[in-house]
Amino acid sequence: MSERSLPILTPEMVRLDVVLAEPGARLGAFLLDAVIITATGTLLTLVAAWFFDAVGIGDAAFAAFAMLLWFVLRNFYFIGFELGWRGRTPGKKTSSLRVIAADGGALTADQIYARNLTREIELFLPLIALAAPHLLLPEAPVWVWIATGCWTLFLGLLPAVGRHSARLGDLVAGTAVIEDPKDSLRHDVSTEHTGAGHAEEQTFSFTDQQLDLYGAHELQVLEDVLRRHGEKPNPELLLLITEKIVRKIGWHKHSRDVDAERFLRAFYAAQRGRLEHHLVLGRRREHKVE
Amino acid sequence: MDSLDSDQLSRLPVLYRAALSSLSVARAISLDKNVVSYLTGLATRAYTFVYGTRHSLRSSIGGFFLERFPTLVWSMRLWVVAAMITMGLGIAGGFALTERNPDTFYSLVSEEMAGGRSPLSTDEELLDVLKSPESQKLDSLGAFTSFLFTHNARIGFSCFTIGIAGGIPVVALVFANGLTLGAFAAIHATRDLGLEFWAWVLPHGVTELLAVCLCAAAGMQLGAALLFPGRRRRLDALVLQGRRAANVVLGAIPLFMFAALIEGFFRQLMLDDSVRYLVAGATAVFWLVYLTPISRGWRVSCLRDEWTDRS
Repeated sequence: MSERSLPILTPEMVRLDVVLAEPGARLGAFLLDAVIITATGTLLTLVAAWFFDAVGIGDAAFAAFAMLLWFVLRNFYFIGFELGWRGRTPGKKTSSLRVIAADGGALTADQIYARNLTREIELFLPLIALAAPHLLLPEAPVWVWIATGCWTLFLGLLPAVGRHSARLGDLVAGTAVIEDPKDSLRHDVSTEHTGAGHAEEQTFSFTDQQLDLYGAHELQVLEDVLRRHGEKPNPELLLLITEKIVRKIGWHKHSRDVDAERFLRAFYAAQRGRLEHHLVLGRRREHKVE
Repeated sequence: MDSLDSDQLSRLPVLYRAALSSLSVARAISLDKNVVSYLTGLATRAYTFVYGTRHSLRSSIGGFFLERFPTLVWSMRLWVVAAMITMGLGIAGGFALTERNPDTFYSLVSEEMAGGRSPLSTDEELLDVLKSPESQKLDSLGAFTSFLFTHNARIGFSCFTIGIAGGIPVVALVFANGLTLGAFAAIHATRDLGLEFWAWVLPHGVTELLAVCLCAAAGMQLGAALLFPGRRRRLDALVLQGRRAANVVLGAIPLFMFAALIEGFFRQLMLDDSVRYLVAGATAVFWLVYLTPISRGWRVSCLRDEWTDRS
């Protein structure tokens, strides 16, 4: 499993390896959400301006409305969507991201409140500190400014450096943002393209000793190579692998005399059959014998 | 996911568990990586559906304000009391300092907050602020209210988030808040305007100071979880308290709104001291009943009605 995967234990006590979202994808999702908030806010403000003007209520009422509008949008956009859409906002949906409880339990409303209420200090404070530091800490000595700058910078960059790429809000709420899985079920490599069936078995036969040399890890690397070859052919690579395998297991023919893809498919099928047979008997081998 | 009808929805949890058990079996006996990762993906998608949030914003509001918020506040009552005592000390301190030496007022209260009031103001000037509204026009009162609300709610949020940084700044913030109030009280009390001053502060102050204390209590509890995690890991303690604290802060938002409405409208329109005190007393009694277990039976019965209405 890659370093971006997070093992969670579902309430049924089954381990699921979910893929954590890339910091870049999260930033993209957030920017999209920010654009939506700004656009909605601006649009509603303009409509309100027109409406208040038409009805003839004064400017102050309009200012009151606008202030409330932005407050509500800024603070409840994320909470509302993550509650209603099961941990997704429009931005997250576009980047196929989702919020889950990092411990594998049910995602509660509390967690969503907690992870979004911290946005104020994570985002808006650093922004204010950057744009207008004198508003934040009037009359403070320089070292306070530097300390505050470092602290807010640290909070802002936490997703890029921290474990699980968690925001402060994720830490407080105990949540994680994951990529929505989208793997589809494909054909089994060992039965694909082998219309000949019996004839193949006779062309490519392996002894048990030859099949005992490799483990599950190598088998799955081979599976990846074969699947990728199906999408984007790469004959040189297949030839290289064939040569290596033939040399390692001491096969009876020379690698130049066989069709690399057919050989590898047959080897994959035989190897998997052998390893799965062992697996059923309770012996799992992860790696090859050196 | 919303496209599922009720029949399909009722089958989903069963199918989810079937997918999980297939995954367990596949992990044990199959070496086909694609099968395992496909089943993992399938199970994960079903997991986020089955164990995702089940409350919509609308349906959780009732349960939140009738049950969760008051219960949470009651469970952290010691911290709330601690925050109130801190603020009380601040008020007393500000009062005593300013009474002894009026010049202290300038260091405790910033110029814009003072709004032209200082130890040098005449009695008439002070009374003017207390009694005559700045503007009788309704729409400007609305803007004032809305400004007060967003401003105060942000202070509440800061209390919560600062709590993550250790809790001590929260205590300082609440104490400083109290100092300012005490300093104001002192300059009025020295001219025998104390009664009028509290009539000016308390109608909204009861609610607003309570909301500040709630947020501060949440922040202090969060800070305590970080400093003294006990037998838990610091991060786990923070997570546990973070959820509770966030709920309290969220619940305090309507309090801020309510306080701002009183401050923006009522106080500027009602100038009679006895009416002002009556309102202050009424809000105090209301919050006391609402946030303590006294009203629990009534709240739970409301909640039950809501559930039966829905089903």
